[in-house]
Order: sequence, then structure tokens, then C-alpha cells
Amino acid sequence: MGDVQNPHDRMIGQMFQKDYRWLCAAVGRTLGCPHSAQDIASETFLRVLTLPDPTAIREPRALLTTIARRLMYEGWRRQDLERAYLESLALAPEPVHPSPEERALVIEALLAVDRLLNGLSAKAKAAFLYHQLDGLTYSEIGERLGVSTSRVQQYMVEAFKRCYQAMQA
Amino acid sequence: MRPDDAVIDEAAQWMALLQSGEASAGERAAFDAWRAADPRHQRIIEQMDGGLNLLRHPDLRGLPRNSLLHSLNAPSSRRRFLSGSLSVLGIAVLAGLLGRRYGWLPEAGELATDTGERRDFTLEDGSALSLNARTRVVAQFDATQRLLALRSGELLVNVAKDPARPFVVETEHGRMRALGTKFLVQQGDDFTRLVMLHSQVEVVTAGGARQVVEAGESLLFNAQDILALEHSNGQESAWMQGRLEVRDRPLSEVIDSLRRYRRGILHLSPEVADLRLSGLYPLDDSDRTLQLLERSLPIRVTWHNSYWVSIEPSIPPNTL
Repeated sequence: MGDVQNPHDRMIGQMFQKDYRWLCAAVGRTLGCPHSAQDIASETFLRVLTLPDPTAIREPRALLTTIARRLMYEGWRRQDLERAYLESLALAPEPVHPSPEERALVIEALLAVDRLLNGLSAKAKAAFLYHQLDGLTYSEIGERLGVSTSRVQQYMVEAFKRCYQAMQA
Repeated sequence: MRPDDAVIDEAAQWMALLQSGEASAGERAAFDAWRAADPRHQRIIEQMDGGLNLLRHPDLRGLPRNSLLHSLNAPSSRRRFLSGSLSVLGIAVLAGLLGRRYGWLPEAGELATDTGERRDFTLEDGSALSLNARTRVVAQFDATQRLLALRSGELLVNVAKDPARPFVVETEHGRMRALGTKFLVQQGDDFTRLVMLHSQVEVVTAGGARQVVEAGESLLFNAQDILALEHSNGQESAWMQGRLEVRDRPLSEVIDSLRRYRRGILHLSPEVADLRLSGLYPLDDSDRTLQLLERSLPIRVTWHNSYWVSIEPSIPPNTL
């Protein structure tokens, strides 16, 4: 790239110079770990780079904080899911040892479903997945979860609402 | 409630109905009409489909279900700061899932009724069982006990005497144990209601709370607790004669009873759900019941078609 920058890159460049250290410090205070704070801050700027029109940003720090906070939550959630997934492998009657690559793919898939169904009760999640992934009928699901068929239908209603909201976000 | 929330709720109800695999041709046609009625409806359904597509992840299907559910129920570390009890809840749910998986198999002996259908059965021990509409029970009789598992809906049973084998009705919230007696059990989503018509029954909730209920009493309980012990109002078994009798009950409860007798979507706006009413209504003619309700309450019943009815507050004339 030469000396002549387009407004997009110039805007990001200025933002980086002015706000990168500030963001590292802010994230570091939350995480208590300067090393991961730098990772989060860099990743945050990467996300800003992919925004359709960064020149329209009015409050850069508010935007950076929002993205960084989302990344931190995502990172924590990823760890939670990974821990629980490994736990479930250990609990399985037959030991399973997925490769690191398989594991990473599963965690990504888990994260996507978790985001989609976030906020539903454990039973509602189970009902929805039994239906969508395994094709169980509502009454089979009711039997498996020990709830009435009409309750299963309500779980489905809640899950479909979440599907809608997830696409709005 | 934002105006959109009601529409999103309606859309989700349609999706749940269509995906149940039990929607009739009429209901499907009503759904098409609903979708065509407003471009917003179509858009919301498309977005819901989009959310469903996120589940078409090849790595998900291959994952054992227990593993998937256990992972998704992992307590969030962000929330762990706020509430340590969440992780306890996660473990309890997992234990419940595993317990059911290994301890309980579906079996024959199922008795069920459809929407708008009531049926009487004579059980093998001579007990008389009546099922209200949309009810499902599984009878498991053996040498030591007579067990009726009520999965959903409402039953009335007149138990034949058999001192050697207690008669037990089980719901998701607890067990009711009798020797010879007549009683009514209604499994709601959040509670079970027991109404004693003769003699007495001992109730043990899933969480271990105990209560003896005598003739003329009505007990409300959930899995943890006894919620209320009241005098029966004598109207609970009116459905046996096809009547719905209510005295000072919320509209939402009346509509729930009516839903057992109607196909399609009956949408009740939350603004009018708590209106209280008393009256005697025909269950087998739910159209007429809805007309009667509209006449006696500040509500407007909109008949989009016979499978899609919404109930909203009527607009008082003085605000126009």
C-alpha cells in the first residue's frame, strides 16, 4: 500500500492510534490479564475493519467497548462450552477421543447453537433439538423429558421466537 | 409489549403447530391465509426458517445428544459471579435427563383422546376412567400396584376396590395414592390439580412434600410444593357433561380449557388474560362459547377464519 490512503483506512488508522491503548487498558481491567487484553483489543479492531462503513462511526469508543465486550463474553462462553463438552466425553460410557481439529469444529458448532438457543430452559433446548435433529414427535419428546405434550409445544413456540430474535441480532 | 411481539408470538405458534406433524389440511390452509394476510407475517416466518438453518451443522448431528445437551447447559462463567446456584441447576437437569434415559421405557397401555374428544374406559381391574379432550395416560398395572401415568390433560377415575394393589396416578409433579375412591386429576403445565369426589388420597410431590386430601377438597401442587388446599367448588367435573362451569376464574384459564376443544390457533392477548369471569359454557360448541365471552367481557373476538381466532381488548367507545 502506498502513502495515499482511502478515507476508510485513514479513519481506522486514526482510531487505532488514538484508542488502541485505551481499549487494552479497559479490557485489561475487566479480564485482569494484559496478555489476553491485547488479543481482545486486536480482534476488536479486526471486526471494525470488516464493518461496511466505518466512516459513519460517531462514537468510536462506545462501539469498541460494545464489540470488545461481546468478544469477551464469547470467549468465556467458548471456554464454558469446551469444558462442559470435555466433561461429557469423560462421562460417556464409551471413551471418545476426538482429534483437536474435530474438537475445534464441535466447539464452533456448539457456540452457534448456544447463541441461537440462549435464554431457553434446559428442557426447552432439549425438546427443540430432539425435534429438529432427531425428528422425535412432540409426544415422544414429552415422554423423554417427563412433561406434557402441550408443554413440549410451548417449548417449541419459545424456541421459534428465539430463532427469530437470533436472526435479528 | 411491542406491537411486533404479538405477531412474533403468533408466528411462533403457527410454526410449532405446523412442525408438530398434526396440523390438519384446514390448519395448513389457515396458516397460508395468515401468512398472506400481512407482508410482516411472511418476513417473520422467513427469519425463523433462517434461525433453523443454523442447526443444519454437520458437526451437530454426529454429536451424542447427551454430550450436546450437557454442553449447552453449561453454566455461564459470566453469570456464575452473580449466582452460584446455576451450576447446581445444570447438574440437576443432567441427572434428570440421564435418569429418565436409563430408567424409563415407553410402553403399551396408552389411552388418549384427540381435540374435542371425551372418552370413557373400563380398566382391567374394573375401575372407570374418563378422559377429557387432548389427554394421554399410560396404564401400568402389575401384581403390586395399579399405576396410571397422566402425561397431559385431565382424567376422572372411579377406582375399583383392591386392598392388595394401591391405585396410583402419577403426573410430572407427583404421585396420588388411593385404595378405593373417585377423584379428578388435571395436569397443567406448571401444576397438577387433584379434586376429591369420594374418600381420600395421599399426595406425594416429586420433591417429597406430602398431603392427605379428603372428599370435597381440591389440592394444587407442583413438583416441589403443595400450593393450595381449598374446598372443591363442585364444578370441576362438569366437562363430563360437556359443560365448562367457572366461578371467578381468569379468562386465560377458560381459554386453556377451550383450546382442548378447538383445532388451530386461539390467540389471547395478554392485556385481557387476567379478566375474571363466571358462567356456564358449552364445551362442544366452542364457537358459541367465544361469542358468549365476547358479549359479557370487554373483549373483541376476531375470526380470521375458523382455525385462526384472536382475542383482544375491545376499544371503549369513549376513547375514539
